[in-house]
Amino acid sequence: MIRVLRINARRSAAPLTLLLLLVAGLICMFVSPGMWAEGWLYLGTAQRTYLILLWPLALALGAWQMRQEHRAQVDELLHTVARPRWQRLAVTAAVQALAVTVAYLVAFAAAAAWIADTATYLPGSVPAMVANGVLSLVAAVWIGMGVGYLLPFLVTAPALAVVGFGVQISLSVVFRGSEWLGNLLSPYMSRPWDPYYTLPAGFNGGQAIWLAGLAVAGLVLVAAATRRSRLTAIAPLVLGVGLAVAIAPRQDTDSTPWVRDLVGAQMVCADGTPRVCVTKVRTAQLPKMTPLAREALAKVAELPGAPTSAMEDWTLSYGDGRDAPGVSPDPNSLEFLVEAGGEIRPRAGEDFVPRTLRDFLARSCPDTTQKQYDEDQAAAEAGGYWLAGRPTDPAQVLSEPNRVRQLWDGLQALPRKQALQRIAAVRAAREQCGTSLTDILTGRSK
Amino acid sequence: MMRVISAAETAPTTYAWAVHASGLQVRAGRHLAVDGLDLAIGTGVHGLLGPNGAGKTTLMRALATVINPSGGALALLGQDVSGRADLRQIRRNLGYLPQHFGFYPRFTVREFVEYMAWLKEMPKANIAAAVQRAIDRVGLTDRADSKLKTLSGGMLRRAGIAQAIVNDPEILLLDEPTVGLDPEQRLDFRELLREIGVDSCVLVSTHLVEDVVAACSDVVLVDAGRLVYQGTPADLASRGDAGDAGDSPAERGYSALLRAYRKANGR
Repeated sequence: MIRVLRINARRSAAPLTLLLLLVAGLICMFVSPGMWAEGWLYLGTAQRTYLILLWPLALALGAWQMRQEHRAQVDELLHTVARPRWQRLAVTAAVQALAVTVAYLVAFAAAAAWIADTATYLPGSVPAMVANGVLSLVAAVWIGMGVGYLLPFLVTAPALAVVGFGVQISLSVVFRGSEWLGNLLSPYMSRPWDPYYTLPAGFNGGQAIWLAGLAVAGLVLVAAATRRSRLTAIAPLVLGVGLAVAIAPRQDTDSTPWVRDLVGAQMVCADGTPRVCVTKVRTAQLPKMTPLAREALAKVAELPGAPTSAMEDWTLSYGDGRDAPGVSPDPNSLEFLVEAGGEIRPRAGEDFVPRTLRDFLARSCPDTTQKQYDEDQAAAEAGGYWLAGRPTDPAQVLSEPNRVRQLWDGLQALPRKQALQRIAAVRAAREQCGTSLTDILTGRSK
Repeated sequence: MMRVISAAETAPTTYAWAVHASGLQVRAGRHLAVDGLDLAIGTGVHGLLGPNGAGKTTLMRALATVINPSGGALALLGQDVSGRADLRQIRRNLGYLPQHFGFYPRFTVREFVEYMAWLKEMPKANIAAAVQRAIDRVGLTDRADSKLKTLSGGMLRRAGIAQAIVNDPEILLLDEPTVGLDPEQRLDFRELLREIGVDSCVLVSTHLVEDVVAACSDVVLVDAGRLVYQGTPADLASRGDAGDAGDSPAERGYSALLRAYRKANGR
């Protein structure tokens, strides 16, 4: 048996399957490492995203295998052997499954080697995502074999690839309003908006059942000899979809399969004082962030009621259902953002301190005019740069640079104590949306 | 060459004929290519002769269990094979070289023969030695590790024979095995047939009367799907006379038998 497997592994279309899927997989991964360099969650999802191309390719390669089988014209001879036909084809199918598995895992391992020492937090859903990615390719190559056996034509493989691509695209279009369903049924997976997300176990489990059903249907098509037995392939398909939809949890608010990863969002703190903490997801960034955060803390130390610790702010605000469950900011804590920007080793932001201090002063008022919002932003930016002890950088500021510079000049012209008083007033006005931050900063109102 | 002989192999057979057909009907598509054939053959080398379209290949395919008979009775190794019979036991003891021998071009000779041995459900422990022996017997020892796609037509035919004999079949069916063999290889092949025919039932379909005379213990002549004649090569040769078509006594005997059969049946 082992020898027969080895013969098949060497002489069937499996080496071609392995080679093409591996090369295509590696090209996809390394064309834009920024997609996954930040950590395991993005690596797991990025590889699933590329299934939009690799999955149709696996379908085509499965069909190609059976085309080769057909071209060898061995049916007459093999019809006369004692061993049942399904056993022979099971070996071929097993070898193909092995090829796609190795191709997927090697591409994953190659990318993993890049990020292994910086990506510290491995959510449990990532191994499940990889396993489902492998399972989807196994299902593809077996469905491809089944179709290739029924239609052993030259055109079958390319046509199947086009269909496979089209099906994935249409799933995401058809289920636009319920993204979780499109993601559940498609091998392709959409990317989460930020790294503090994960997939619930029920979603991965449901998807695994559906993909297993798909794989079994492919095997039935390959092994079934009669039209009636081929029809039984419908059973695992229906059962798979039914169970998957029943098991996978719906995220009713915005229909996405993604849920907040509250384990990944737990805080990890640096030794020493003042206390500086980042989320588990960003553990690797902690040594680099600590001195910067402490520098920012030092800059605000003279303000009344100044924060005594600094924490990463992971509750990114989208202004909709994707927002993290409300975690009220600790008044004694300076919040800062960690942005990796798709880098394995993100550079320490030049403007980290002024940016963090800007956010410290900025406010978000729901019912404000654009003009008022712009003015508030300019005030916060001018204050942030002034606190940081730096001139405004026109290349970095988000508001109108001249306006920010004008406000900054105004602060600079004041005695330090008075300027600090005004900034403290701006900070205090965060909770009152009726006032104008620029008026407070320029002394026109208190 | 020594191997362990199992009790099953030395047990006396429970059937009189390895192949026993009576009133056998087999369709080739919609055409009844074998139509009421009676045939009983046992151990030995049997040459299946007949003109093109006589139903030789269809008969071979039925005996190889590729197609089910559509009428009459057919027993292989004493077991009825019509209908929904379990053919597994019979197939383990079959060897078959189809007229159009399909193969996996990327397999080596050894891999292909080994794969076929696995498909014939040979005991795992015997396979490696049996494969080497089969390859040696057809004279492909020095090409055993060449890919099939690199072999010449004659070598492919011999690789096809190797897969057919790898399981020491009790019934060996060879459809046009000598096509593509050069004269020297043909001599070797006849020798091999005689060797196998000592304890197996070998049925060789061919156009070449001289092959049958040289290698077969028995001649089976069919025409239009029926048995015309069954006898020894010497008897076949004695059936013709100088007026019959052919370059040898056996060929003349062949022509004479066919002509007489067709005349008697009004064709």
